[in-house]
Amino acid sequence: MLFREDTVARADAMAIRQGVGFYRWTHDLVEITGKDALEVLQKIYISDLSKVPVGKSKYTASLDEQGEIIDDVIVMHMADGLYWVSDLYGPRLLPWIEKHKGNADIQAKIITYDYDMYAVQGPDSLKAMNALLDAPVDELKRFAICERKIGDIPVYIHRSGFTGENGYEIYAAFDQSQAIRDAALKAVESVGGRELQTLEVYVRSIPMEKGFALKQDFKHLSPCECGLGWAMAAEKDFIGKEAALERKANPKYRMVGLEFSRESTEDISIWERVYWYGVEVGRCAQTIYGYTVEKNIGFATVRADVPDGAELTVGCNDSPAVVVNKVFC
Amino acid sequence: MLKEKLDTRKCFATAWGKLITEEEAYRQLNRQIAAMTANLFQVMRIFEPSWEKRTAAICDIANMMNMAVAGSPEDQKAYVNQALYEAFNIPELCEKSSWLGGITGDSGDEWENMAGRVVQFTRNRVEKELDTCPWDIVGSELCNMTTSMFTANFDLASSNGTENEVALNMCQARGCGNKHCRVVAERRDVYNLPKQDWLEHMQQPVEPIHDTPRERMVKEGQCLRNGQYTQNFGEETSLETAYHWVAQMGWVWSIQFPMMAIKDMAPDEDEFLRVFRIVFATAGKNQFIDPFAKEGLRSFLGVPHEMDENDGRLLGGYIRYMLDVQQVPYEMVRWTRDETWIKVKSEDFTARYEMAPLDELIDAYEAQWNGAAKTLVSPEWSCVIEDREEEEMYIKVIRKEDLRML
Repeated sequence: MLFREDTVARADAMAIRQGVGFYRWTHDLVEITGKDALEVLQKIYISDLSKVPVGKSKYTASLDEQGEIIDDVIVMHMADGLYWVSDLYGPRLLPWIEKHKGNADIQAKIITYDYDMYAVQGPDSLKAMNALLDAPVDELKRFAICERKIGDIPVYIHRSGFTGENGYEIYAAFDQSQAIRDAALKAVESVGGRELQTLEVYVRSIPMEKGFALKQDFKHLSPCECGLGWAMAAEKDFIGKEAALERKANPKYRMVGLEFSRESTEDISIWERVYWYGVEVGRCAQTIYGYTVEKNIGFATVRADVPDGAELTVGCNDSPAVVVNKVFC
Repeated sequence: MLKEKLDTRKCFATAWGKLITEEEAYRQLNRQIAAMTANLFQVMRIFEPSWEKRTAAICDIANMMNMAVAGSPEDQKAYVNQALYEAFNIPELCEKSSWLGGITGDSGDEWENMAGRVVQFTRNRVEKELDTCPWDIVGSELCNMTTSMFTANFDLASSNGTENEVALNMCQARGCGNKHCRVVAERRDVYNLPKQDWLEHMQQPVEPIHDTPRERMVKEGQCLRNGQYTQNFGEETSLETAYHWVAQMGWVWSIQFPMMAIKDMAPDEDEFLRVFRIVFATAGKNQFIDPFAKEGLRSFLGVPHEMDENDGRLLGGYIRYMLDVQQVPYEMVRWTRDETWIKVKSEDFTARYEMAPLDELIDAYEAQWNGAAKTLVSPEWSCVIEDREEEEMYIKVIRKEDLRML
């Protein structure tokens, strides 16, 4: 829970929006190999990963048989026949692959403890990265990966992030984590940035302002109900596709943004009930204070017929909220 | 249409057919365990007049038992990885250290219908605020005792082996008459704070608190508001699971742990049981002394108007309701104007948590229900629990002369 008057959280948020900030951001990492790796990944994920060349990555999602999102990930094509899946729920991906691989030749293992990851994010992130690395990364495209060094330590640089700003992710051997942190701190501070202190700023507040959701926000939603229809490949098959297309034609829910008018939202927990004219129409996934938009904002899953601009109430104290686009700025 | 709604709510029927929802039963169970705790703590206050001594004693035992749950020192880190980090899906981006106790603490609160919120959750500080606590009738010894249990969780989650990094303070407590309960953990190295003894955990934190105004306080935990508890990393616990957890573990932490220390405060086991039974008998008599308490119970359980007020089934129906609320299986054997017999497996009654049987529950409830019989029905009636040493025992509500009533 964040509040307007939290000066540390505000400074963290402003570093990302106006300068540069860095933080440890190690997701679970799953390494996928085998001659049929792509075939299985194509079956599991909704996007066409055959179009992702070595050195590039793609944000995508997986569905259950009902066409509802069960996970969202970034798949990185690291080398021929070698993929990394960056996932907050790695241990759950392994049995899912096992369940659906059939006779395919694919190996999946958790390598979370082999690589640590730091995120360097914000409009000045390129300056910080160039101060940090042995060679500049000016030419690195979004969702592209390259190899560099920090001092003598080999690292992968992935131009990506979860902030809506330009940003980079640094992958390095786990046992080099402290050296990477020290070097990143020095480089980031040299261009006026800071190490972020507040988990909820970089996990929730900053991403939510830009419409970036966590896996739990997608509960019960099909891709077209939450703005991820673009990620569904039309020309290939994947688990849940038929059901997802049915939900596209006849949506049950929609994922929306909420703007709250009260000073704070202490009475709204995760998955709180949402009402329209007093009738329950959905759930509020979470609320947070946004330091860029200077508002309490949230994501909600509501009945498909609830329009933008609808005046809702949330929770037991009827906290008023207006339905808005889920990209707040 | 009614037909479509028949399966939408879980409930059980009282002896007279009134339906009690899962939500109502869960709410009642939490409060019932709290009431039992309150009675037990009166026993403690009789045996140990010093607040400091008795508080330190129950803190000590509660901490030790919480640590013991995690096994030997070699097993403890594996326990933490499995029971905390993996079970709570705490992602790798979080530093594994004591402050993560804030998340496990939050889940424990919500499962027991302690309604509130984590108001701050940073590397250096966690602040948890509660608006309600079913145990708010017990007293400050219990509030202190919970800090010793948190200390165990924080010790286990620590990155420094098993000594936590934080100063932990319950700076406000509903059990002390405050508007909120508030627990704040602040890193000792960051805030330059000393390690604390058991009785030093109710101080003020360094950083200012965030006080939720009354208009945004909540009256029920997430399980009752939303049908589930969802923690910060998206893991969910259904009301059904939380209810079942309370029905087992609620008795362990708030009754069994302190009872171990309280027994040591008594001169011997017999004297402990003598006072224990007196306190619970008094609680039972007071339960229905007011006419509106009897009227309220009749209405709540759906007792028909034509049932005479000197009918032992009033108490029998109440006991049956209480067993249902507490998820204790039973079988009705006699249900007449003259007697109620309820057969219960002794283990089901005493071992709510299989690993930790609590034989004293028989003494407590026999004394309490016997006392309640005098005011809910009449002094002609008694409650006895027979065959307590056997595999199956009988809770009986019967007419009985009692020349030495407690």
